[in-house]
Amino acid sequence: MLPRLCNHCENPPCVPVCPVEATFQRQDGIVVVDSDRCVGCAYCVNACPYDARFINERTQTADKCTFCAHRLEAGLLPACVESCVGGARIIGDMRDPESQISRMIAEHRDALMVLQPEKNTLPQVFYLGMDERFVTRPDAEPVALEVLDPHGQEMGYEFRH
Amino acid sequence: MNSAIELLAPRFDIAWYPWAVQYFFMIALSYATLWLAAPALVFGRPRWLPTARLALLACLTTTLVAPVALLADLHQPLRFWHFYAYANSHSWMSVGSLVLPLYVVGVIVLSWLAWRPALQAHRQAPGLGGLVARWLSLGEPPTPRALVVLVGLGTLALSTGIMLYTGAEVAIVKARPLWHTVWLPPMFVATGFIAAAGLILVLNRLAGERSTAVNRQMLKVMLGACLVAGLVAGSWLLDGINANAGSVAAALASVRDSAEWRSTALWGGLTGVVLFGAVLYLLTGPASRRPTLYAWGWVLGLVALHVGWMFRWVVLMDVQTVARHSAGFHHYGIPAGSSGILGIVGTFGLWLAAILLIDLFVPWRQATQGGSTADISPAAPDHPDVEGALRHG
Repeated sequence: MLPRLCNHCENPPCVPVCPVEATFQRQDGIVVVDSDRCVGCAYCVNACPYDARFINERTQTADKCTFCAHRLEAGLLPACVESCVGGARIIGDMRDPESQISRMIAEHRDALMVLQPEKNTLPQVFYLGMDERFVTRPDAEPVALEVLDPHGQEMGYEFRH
Repeated sequence: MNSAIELLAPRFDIAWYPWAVQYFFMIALSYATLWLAAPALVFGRPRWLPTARLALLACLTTTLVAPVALLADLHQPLRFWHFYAYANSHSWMSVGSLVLPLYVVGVIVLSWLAWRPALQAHRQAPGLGGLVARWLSLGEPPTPRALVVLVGLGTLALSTGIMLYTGAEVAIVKARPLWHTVWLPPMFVATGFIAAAGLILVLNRLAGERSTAVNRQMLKVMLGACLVAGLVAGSWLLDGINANAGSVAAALASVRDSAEWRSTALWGGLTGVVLFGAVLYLLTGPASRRPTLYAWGWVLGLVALHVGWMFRWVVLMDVQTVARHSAGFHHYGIPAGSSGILGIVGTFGLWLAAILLIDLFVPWRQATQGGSTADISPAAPDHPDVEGALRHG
């Protein structure tokens, strides 16, 4: 399982393309969308190399992972971090040198990987122990065009590398 | 690390709908036909007047319809005013939202100036035609030629802004390597001119003008535009043929991995070569057979429109189906509703309605290069345009 969430890039390609400045980077680095201002042009959806953005069918505006900013503000952990039983997801303040995340980054600096580093987006989501074939777009053969879940809903496509 | 991996890639929907293709197609026809109307309309070359009449009809109608398709591609079209309330100079789309309305107004004013003398000559026409002519011509004073030239030059300048922003808007997107090339904007312009010359060939036949001069001029423009398009495509290929990443590498990978992309590349290449060869044959054929050969120009016009539209479809729709973060290609089936077939047909229907309405109420066939009603041939008012429309069907 390779979780692919918004990378909350330091140099986010989705922000400058927005024609109405509806998407922006907060002071703490989290990239969010103002859904009241968004016109739904989907330019940011195309500009994100990580498929992290989509048009929300209900609001008809651009939507994305917010690092659960609303939970962070309430002193809670993001839902994905909270629910990960293996404790494999770690979030923290990288600007605080004493935080767990800062210490781990210092400890594993050489082994850390980010997705599509050549895009120069400076992702702020780091992977430890990831299969290197996922750093860039994996070159794989399609096996099955449609994979269905037990309810008959399409989950995606299956590939073999 | 060398073990086989199986991966389940989620399906990602496309973000820009066929409305985008319709907008890019219509606006390209718009700016290219404006430049084809310019030799007579702005720069006073009388030999280009028959072409300018057809080109201006094409230009105004596509200019009116294009922004409708653009608005429809927004998921929140009623928030279009946010473009002006919260403009962002870093975004090419925002720059475009400022240029586009100015350009649209420029084309409308230019068309009105060009058609005004003919409208004034129709003021006494009976029935609704005369009423519309009296209302649209806004009085008797002559139209100053200098004003036509001034508005024409301004609109031509704005049209280069449209060419620049529509190309740059797509070409700056690094996330889609197939788009991210400096050769994309010039290719949009070149295929735009191919399609525009084709449209005028088709209109020349459909409107019953059947002017040989128009056919010859448009075939020459098409030949030049085909050459430029070939040159741009060749430069793009050579520019990246040795690179491991980038636009050409992504294109070669798509052609290698997907039968659909192979057939698209083959079809595009063949159509381009056949069109170029056919245009060359028509232009260099024996002089005695030229009128017969030129009469078939409208068929090449349809092929040229196909080239212009398909290029935009492949670039804007098909490229969105190339997975950028997972393996393979996403399946895209054109939906039947307004974000699919209905939108495509609807745009063309609206365009046809605009052409027919102008043909009904505006004596565009008698358009001049500005000036006064005295420039209109005296026979013109005796041929109400409604009759003309019926006659030419």
